[in-house]
Amino acid sequence: MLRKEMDLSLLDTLKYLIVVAYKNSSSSFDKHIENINEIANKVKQEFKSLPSSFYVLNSYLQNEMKNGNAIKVYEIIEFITELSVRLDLSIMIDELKENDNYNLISESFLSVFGKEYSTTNSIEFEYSSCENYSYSRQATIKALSALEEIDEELSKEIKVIVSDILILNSNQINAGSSFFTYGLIYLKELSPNQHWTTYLEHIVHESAHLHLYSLWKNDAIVLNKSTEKFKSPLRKDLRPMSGLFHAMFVLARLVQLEKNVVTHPKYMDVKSKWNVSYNNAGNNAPIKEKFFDAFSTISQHGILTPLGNKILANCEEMVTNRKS
Amino acid sequence: MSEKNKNESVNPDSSVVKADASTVQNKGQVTIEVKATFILDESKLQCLNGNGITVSSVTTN
Repeated sequence: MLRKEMDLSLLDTLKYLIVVAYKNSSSSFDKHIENINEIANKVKQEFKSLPSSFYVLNSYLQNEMKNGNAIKVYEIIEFITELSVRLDLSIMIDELKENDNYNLISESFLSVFGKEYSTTNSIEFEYSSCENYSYSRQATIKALSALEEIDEELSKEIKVIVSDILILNSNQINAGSSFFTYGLIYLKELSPNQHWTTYLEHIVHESAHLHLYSLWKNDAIVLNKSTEKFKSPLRKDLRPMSGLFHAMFVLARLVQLEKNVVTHPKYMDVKSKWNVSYNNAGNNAPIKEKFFDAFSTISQHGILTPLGNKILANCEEMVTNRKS
Repeated sequence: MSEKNKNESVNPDSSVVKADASTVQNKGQVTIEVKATFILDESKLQCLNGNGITVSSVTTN
């Protein structure tokens, strides 16, 4: 239901943006609105997710409207109307590429997400290379099919939340996700010496962030001031309580994943190839210890809404296997 | 391309896009920039609940 709410709210925003874009124009925008209404009806009737391209293009459209770039605004609106819509619960795997009909989607992604990170963190996104894309794609398929066997419940959750996986290259990034590119997980292409379990972990991690964004849309969850900063088990820099809450939520799922991998007869051996990479803080502690580190700081200093407290308790239950 | 044509190629009847149109010439390629003002009501945009909260995540090397 959360995903459906997100999708319908996004389509409402798109309709609003189209109306504003054509407000002072005598040109008809009926075909654009009809198109969005048609998609909204399908989303309402069926249990299917909207492709992340809609979220990416919506964010790009908003930015370009704020920038006053009229040519780009009308180009994006036309593109959305002509986009063939895939509504289902399968995860589309693609690469960040140029010179094809996805060009505007790649451009939107780079503009919406790439710009923010390239200016603030010196992270650059690049198009994937042909030789590693094929290997990375196979690794993604393997990770998703293994997850179905390792943790059916988590696998189902991810299929609802994640609609697209984008493989790209980057100077620093391993994986990422954003509220502004909802439904999309981006993964750095693997080098031939990297194992598919790298992606297993990244997919579960980023899907957890996306899941939390959809909960955060309707509830403030954390009431601490954003200027208050706390030590995080995952990062060198101090983080706001919302960042710590995200870390806790993600770690709970990773603990569950790890537990299910090591006890699964088919996959218990892959644990040795699984390089848990979340060590930006130089913290070599096991994932479970990192979870309780974050959990303890939130319990002590977090000012949470009732939903925030409920999520915290659920995560503890997930990690300890007992009702709190 | 004339000023009028530039506007027509975007949105022929829009008074908004006529506000500020300019042409930038670079290595033989012509880029047309048409500026307009779109006033957005933030409350109608999809957003997260709260200010200054985490909106994106990356894991780095």
